Amino acid sequence: MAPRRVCRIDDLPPGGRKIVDGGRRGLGLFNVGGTVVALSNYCPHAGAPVCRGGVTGTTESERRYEAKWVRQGEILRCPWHGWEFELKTGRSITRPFRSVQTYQVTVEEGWIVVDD
Amino acid sequence: MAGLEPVIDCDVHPYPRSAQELLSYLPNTFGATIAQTLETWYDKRPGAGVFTGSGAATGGIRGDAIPVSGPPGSDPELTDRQLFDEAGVDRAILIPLTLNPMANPMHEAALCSATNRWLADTWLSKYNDHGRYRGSITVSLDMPELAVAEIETYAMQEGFVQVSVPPIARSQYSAPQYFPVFEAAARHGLPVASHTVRTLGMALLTPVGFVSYYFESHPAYTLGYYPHVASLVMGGVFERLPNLHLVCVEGGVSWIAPFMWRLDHYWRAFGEELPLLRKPPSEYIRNQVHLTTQPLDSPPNHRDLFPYLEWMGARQMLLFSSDYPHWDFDDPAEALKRLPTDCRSDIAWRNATRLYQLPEFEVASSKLSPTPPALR
Amino acid sequence: MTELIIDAASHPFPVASDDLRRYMSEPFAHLRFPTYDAYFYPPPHTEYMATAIDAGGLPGSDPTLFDKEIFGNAGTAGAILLPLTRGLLPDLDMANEICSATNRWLADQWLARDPDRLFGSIRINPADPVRAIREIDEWATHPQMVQIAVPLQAHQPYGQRIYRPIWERAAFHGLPVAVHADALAGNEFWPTAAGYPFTYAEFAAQNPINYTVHLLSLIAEGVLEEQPDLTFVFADGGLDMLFPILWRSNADWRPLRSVTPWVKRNPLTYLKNQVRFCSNSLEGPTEREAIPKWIASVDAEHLLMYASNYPFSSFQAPSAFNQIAPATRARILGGAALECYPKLRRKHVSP
Repeated sequence: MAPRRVCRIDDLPPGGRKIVDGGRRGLGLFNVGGTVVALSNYCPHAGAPVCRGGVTGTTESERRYEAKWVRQGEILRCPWHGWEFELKTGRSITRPFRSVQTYQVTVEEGWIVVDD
Repeated sequence: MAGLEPVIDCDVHPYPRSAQELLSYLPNTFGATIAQTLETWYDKRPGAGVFTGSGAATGGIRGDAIPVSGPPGSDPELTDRQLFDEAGVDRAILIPLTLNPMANPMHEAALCSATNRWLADTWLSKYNDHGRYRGSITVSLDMPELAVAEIETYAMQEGFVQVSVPPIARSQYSAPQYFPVFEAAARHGLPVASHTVRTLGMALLTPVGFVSYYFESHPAYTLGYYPHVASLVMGGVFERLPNLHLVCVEGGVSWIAPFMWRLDHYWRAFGEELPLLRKPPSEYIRNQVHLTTQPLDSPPNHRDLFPYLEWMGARQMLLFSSDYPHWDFDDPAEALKRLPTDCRSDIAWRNATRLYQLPEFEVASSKLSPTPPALR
Repeated sequence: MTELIIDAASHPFPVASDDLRRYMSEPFAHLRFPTYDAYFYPPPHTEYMATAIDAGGLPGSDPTLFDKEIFGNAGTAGAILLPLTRGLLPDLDMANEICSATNRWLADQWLARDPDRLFGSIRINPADPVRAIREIDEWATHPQMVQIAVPLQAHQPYGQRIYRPIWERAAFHGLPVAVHADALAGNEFWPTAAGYPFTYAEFAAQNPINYTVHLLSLIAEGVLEEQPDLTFVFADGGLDMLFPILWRSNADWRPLRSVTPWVKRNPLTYLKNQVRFCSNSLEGPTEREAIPKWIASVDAEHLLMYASNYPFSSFQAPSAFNQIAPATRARILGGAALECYPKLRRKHVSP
């Protein structure tokens, strides 16, 4: 399938999200601090509409009982079972990695173009 | 989204739109004081948030199941769409969770009564033109006379197919004071579903203390069911009530296989004080205990579950469930894929059809006819 | 059978309950404490095997009968003794004293008489970490003490913070921690999550399963993650119920990761190196034909260690594993114990 225009970049400011048609259950477009990414709206865990989940941060730890809040705005939590995925790569936080499928995105002449 | 198989979802949670809606169904017989207490307390009842991060990040609810207004599970149109259209469910057995265990058993009984009247008036009638919902009669074991009265009232009413009790009672299920409740259910051919409710205090106490995290507490649902299963078996209640069926909801499935063996071993070794048993415990369990599938046990390789299914006799014991609208929702297509092909139909709809005495489905083009038969 | 057989758990008793007093000091030695044969749940008949009952003392107190059963009939090469204490006692110092006395009694009356074949467990009171560590240090270098032993019963799950120094000490000394039901004669909580069962059979069938709460706690609070060389041995058995519980945790681990981010690995990954179960004749398939498949499905090859449970009527002889494939059988009967207990390896334990 050829790359196609899905929406205007103006309609997707930083921190924004749009669900558009495509793939198995649609695609989610996210503007993560200026970078636009496109993820399949299908969670690799159990098929949930993952792109409708919360965009948030997560916790990291170097010792027991320590939970540092990090990566605000970079993490997508699936709305069903809460799996955490990096928006920019589609990869889960945990190992072994499970990944949401991602698509190549470019911005041309004010349009977001997705190659799905 | 719908699969080829009919699906009966045996664990769906409707909620009233508000405390006022629920309490408007409270019968006058409970008096003004109880009504007043419940009105001031109901919206502030504790227990849900006692564990940090309980229910993943979404407070226990599927993130995309939150209605525009009203609590999750209170919008019949949203529920219809997400369950029947998107998930491919054909029938849903409703288990209201309006009740938290309360210190005063009379308060519990009052809430049960309100819940049953509300369910009868809304989800089993006004919201049920399509005839897809069936419901549970919620009762409080610790007020057995009132519980029996509720069962007698609703057993013959349209749409009620089982009795629902929490596993948090003041004693184990074979306690003599509870027998009339189980007897009434069995007499009316109504299974008894036991479903965990949110709680706090001593009900959270495990045999080795209070746990710290939801990660530890969630598997403990299972630990809350098997004492009651053992109690009903070893206490001879299943023997005295051959028509009694117990449904353990949301407790997982694979545990029942080794547990059946355990009870058989200990019955053989120390069974002298169990004079009521005529058969091995496992036989009662296989015939009279049922388990809903959600959350379906998740070994890294789903086939690792298969031996347990074989050992327990899963073909007759398991009932598909989704737990809509909760966070660990099991989508039917995804869950059924993880089960052996030769028991999918049984688990998806045949076992529930038999247990709840639902009309047989027509399976013409493997899809339900649009006009369901009349309610039982 | 030419395999090496290690009995991972048997339970010697003093001839009389009061014998322990000889190993206690005042002000405790003259005070009351629960006797060994006090039951909250009385079994409907004896819970001891007939051949262990000797008219002169408590079952399991006669070394001659023990040797005949364990080293003679069973062909065991080495036996790990796990003496019981008296439950969770309200006075922690009395509980400490009973642990110390039990250790002294065990070393004096049992370990000393057979340095090559008898091994022991250091009883400690986990409710008093300071004293517990002292007790560990006192016995850790005894060549026959191969592990720590703590009750299954507790007031807090074993992963919680107050116990941390104890497990660190055990790890420091290279000693596994055995967890075993103790008496139920003291300040324990009810034995099931739904209160007190009415019958002995229900109690006895369900009580061992409570290890699952400890195990999840040890995982969730990062104990197993932090101490990769520390092994917990659940000596009442319970391998049969392990995977049904842990598969649930496996499903919860990613959803709940951010609450306990120090749990960096899937809960199942801790089992192979850090969790062991003693065998028990009252669990597992009731049909012999199902046993080989069950052995494989519960990964018994890695997780299970043969234990006789002498002198209880649930006694299991090594022959219970006759139909298992030889390599797996060798592991269960002795190989797993040799791996788990380094001090066993230092003794020349051979058939």
